[in-house]
Amino acid sequence: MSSSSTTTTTTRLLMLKASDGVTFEVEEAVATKLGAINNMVEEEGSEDLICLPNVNGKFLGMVLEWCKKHANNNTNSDKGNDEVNKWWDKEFVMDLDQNTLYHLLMAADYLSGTELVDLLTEKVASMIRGKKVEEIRETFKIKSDFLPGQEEEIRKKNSWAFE
Amino acid sequence: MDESQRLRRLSKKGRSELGDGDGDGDGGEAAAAASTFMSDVSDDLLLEILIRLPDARAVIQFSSVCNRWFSLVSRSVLYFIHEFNHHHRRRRRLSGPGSELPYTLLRRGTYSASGSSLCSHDTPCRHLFSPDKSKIFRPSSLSVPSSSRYLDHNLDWPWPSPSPPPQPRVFSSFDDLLLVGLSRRKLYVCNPVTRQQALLPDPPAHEHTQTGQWNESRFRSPVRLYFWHCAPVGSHGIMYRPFGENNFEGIVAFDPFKGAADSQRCRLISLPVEFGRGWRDKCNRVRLGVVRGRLRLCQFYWDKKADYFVLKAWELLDATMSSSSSSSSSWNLVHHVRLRRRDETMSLFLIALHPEDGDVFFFTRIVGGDRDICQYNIRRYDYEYVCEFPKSIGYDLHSLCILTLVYPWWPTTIPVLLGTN
Repeated sequence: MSSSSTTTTTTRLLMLKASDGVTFEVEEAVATKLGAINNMVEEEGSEDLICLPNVNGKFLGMVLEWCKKHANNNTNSDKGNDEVNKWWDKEFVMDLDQNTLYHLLMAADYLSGTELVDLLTEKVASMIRGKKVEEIRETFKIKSDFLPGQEEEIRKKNSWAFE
Repeated sequence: MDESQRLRRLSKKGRSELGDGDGDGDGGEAAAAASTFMSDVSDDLLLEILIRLPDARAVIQFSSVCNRWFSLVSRSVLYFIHEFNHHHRRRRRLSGPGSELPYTLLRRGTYSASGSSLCSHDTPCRHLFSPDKSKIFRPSSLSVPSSSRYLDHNLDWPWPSPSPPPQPRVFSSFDDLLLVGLSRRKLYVCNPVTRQQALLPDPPAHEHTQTGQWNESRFRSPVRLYFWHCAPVGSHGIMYRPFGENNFEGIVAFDPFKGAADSQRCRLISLPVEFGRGWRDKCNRVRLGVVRGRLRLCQFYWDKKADYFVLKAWELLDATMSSSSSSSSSWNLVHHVRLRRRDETMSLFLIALHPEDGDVFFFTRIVGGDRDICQYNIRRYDYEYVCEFPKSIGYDLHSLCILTLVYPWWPTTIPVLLGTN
């Protein structure tokens, strides 16, 4: 490996290979924002090529885009970083459709990107908040599968929450 | 193409091409996922989503979306509540200001849904003030102004008919719970939000509970305990009660879960060294409160010579009751400020501490002939109108006793008591 002979100031580059064969060359500091990759890197004698058979290149790319932004912003010692990250996170999830959200969430969960999972679940929760039960069923194409009378019973038992 | 360009290109592609079925060969799969997001997502992730809902009300409402959502919440409801509270506590810790819990200031009195009182000295326990985000109490009828709402639901007091039940009295509050008494021997703990209630075992010797377990402990108080206008408060399982006759002489701390002997459960807490004595420690110039779970003592008086109000607030550091000696209690002076009058005719009476913001205090304000309730924010050096002064109180300003309800993300559940009805 060429990286072994370079000086310590150069960061190690990792090659990530997605399920569809698309590869990404990323700095170690970026990829290790993901817990799963961090674990692999910390293992002795790990290779620089990491195969990720459960993640499609399209979504791996998006996950890495997020990691890169956060890794960059964290290295600056600027106090406004938190604000920058928040602003950027907001942009990142703003226009995601359900489909992308689902695949991103799956990828982030599989790669143990805790912060990203937090961001994405928060986004889904924000899509639920303030809606009526019927609207949620419609938005997420969920069929009510309660037995007759069961739903009324839930409402009756917890009437304070339905007023 | 460098890496960042490639990433950007991929992400754009990811966003624009989704759902239209072409691209990298997963279009069909993706289109299917679009309609099955919630059924494909794992239980663990769905749980993560549901605990991010703002409050218990939302969670319970949405548990009626389908069987899976319902069982995720209710199958192991204690686990769910634990995760839910854990998430919200963590978030509150991280986000600082703006993460206040909703709260209500109540005027202590009789518990009455209609607001009518039997005797002239019986003032109904009324809603005094809630910030906008607390929507717990609603007007009992449209003609009642929003600032004077009553406890607006009838709890089911088991009282033998046909005699009408006596006016229940609200004695004290803890978090979102109220201690209500039908008589000295019939005391209830109730949650006005969920309308859960439980009769305390007879004879009652306890006022607060935090653990959901009921212990009976009687204790002989070493001092006289009567303070109608200053309610006892609870923090971390310990009850604090002021004592004294006309002057505020000290605080009794009672920890029902500590030790076996009365002397271990009960101790006197001496007042801070900076505490003003003499005419300054008249009962109506001192208030006890719990701010974000910690006990605070506050003194407020008018310094005539200097022409300003003095406000001092302390936080109790030693809450563990590690020693039974009264001198060991340590207070931390958190505020010592002078408040200027805006008007020569203005007088102020401290009535309550803000339960969520240690820099905010509530006052009865009198300017000329007008009375109202205002708050003073130390950070902003500013008085702000809160609500009108309750009309039925008359001119005995000191009879105004304020209880505070603070609503946690998940309402406190009241355990069913064995051996009681």
